[in-house]
Amino acid sequence: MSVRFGSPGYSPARGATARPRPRFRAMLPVLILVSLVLLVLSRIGHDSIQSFRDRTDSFVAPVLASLFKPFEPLRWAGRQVPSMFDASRELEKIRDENQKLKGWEWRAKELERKLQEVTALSRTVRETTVDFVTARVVAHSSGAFVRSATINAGREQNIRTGYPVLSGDGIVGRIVDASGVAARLLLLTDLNSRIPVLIGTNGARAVLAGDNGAMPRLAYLPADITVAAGDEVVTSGIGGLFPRGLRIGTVVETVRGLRVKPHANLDTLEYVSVLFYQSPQLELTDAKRTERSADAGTSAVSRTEPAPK
Amino acid sequence: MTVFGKITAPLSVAVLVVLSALPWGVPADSRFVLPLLPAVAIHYWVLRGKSGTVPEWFAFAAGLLLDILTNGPLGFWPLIYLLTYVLAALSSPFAHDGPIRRWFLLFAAMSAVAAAAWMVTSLYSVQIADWQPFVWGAMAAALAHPLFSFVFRAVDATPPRRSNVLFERGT
Repeated sequence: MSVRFGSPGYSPARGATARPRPRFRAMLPVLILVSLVLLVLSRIGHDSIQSFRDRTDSFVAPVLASLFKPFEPLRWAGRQVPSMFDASRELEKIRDENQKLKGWEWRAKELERKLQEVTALSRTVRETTVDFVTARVVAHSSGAFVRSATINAGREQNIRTGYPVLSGDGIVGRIVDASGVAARLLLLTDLNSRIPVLIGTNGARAVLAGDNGAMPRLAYLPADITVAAGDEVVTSGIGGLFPRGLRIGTVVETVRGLRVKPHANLDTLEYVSVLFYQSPQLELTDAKRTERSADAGTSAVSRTEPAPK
Repeated sequence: MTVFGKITAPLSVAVLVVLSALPWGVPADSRFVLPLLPAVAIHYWVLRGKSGTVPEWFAFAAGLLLDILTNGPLGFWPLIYLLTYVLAALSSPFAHDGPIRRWFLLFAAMSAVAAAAWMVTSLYSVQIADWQPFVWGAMAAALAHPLFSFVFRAVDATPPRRSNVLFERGT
């Protein structure tokens, strides 16, 4: 390569070896401006951004699911390494838990029998069972300020915005966007997540508030209530988005105050179950989304169509 | 430059973008390093003088794709990748004195990018974001750079540059 004096690649210090310095085109400030505008529109939740997401979600989820298939063995191998080291400790832990659970099983049967008797006497309305669908997590948010995941099931599987999402260990979040074949769930650690909860055996009420950390905090905790580390935290059902009594986690004491450690491992979610939990609140949260999806031509469920019982 | 030589750089960035979005089971606090890997690739190719094959619009498109795939706020990663592009382009005249100098330039760029990402995140969330994931992400991306350099150099189909001054007739 020969670079002549005065040409873009010439450097007096290095002679002909210097590479041409990239020139910034007029496009660069325009692209930066577009990025900033998109960021602001995303922040205010503009309808155009939401409908764009609804359109893209329908094809992104299947593409990601198929792209991840070749890497599945790699991921499996990665998960085996720590479990091999912890196998003996894990076995010991399971034995202890099994011993405790046997005691609890007997107690639960006894309580169930008593509950049936009391229910029969008081003529309480029986609670209906809630159906669910299980879906696979195909993408995780990678940013430092969003805690969400995408699953490969959407409105075609009757999933609607607002439905609670659980793993085998407990609640993980709720659906915030549902397109035709994919849905986005907001994890309970996200900054925008707020879940009314009950704490411990005395049933203290609070709001579980995510702050993008690993353990969400307890907000609006009454001052006269004592909460100790190790207390169980469950959904209270207030607000109507979540049914009462879903397991969330346990209270832990940290340097930043009382936090809740979720039972579900939110970092390694693979399969999750979406509860078809109908509530009056759902009509308010899902209605707008359904209208927008219908406009985008991706809706498979009409607004009035009920979810399966 | 061959067709393969032209697509190597954009293809490597695109592959890293897709890999960043897949659920690897990485803890949430450590996951910030994943989207910085395409930034490492952009920085590498621009420093290598491949800004023609990884232009600014491609950096923007890669960021937008990542935002769509991860359901993040649109515009965040385009902004970060464009910043990486600008930093790499500005520092490219100083990148001729070996791999250590290039690594140092990348480390400085990743530190600046992480600081910018932290600021944008704090502004977006309207609260001071935790700085630790950003620092960890920048450090991990800088540590991953030698490995990426090795791989990119191996797959780069462009003929190696003649490093000595070329004497022309009459010089």
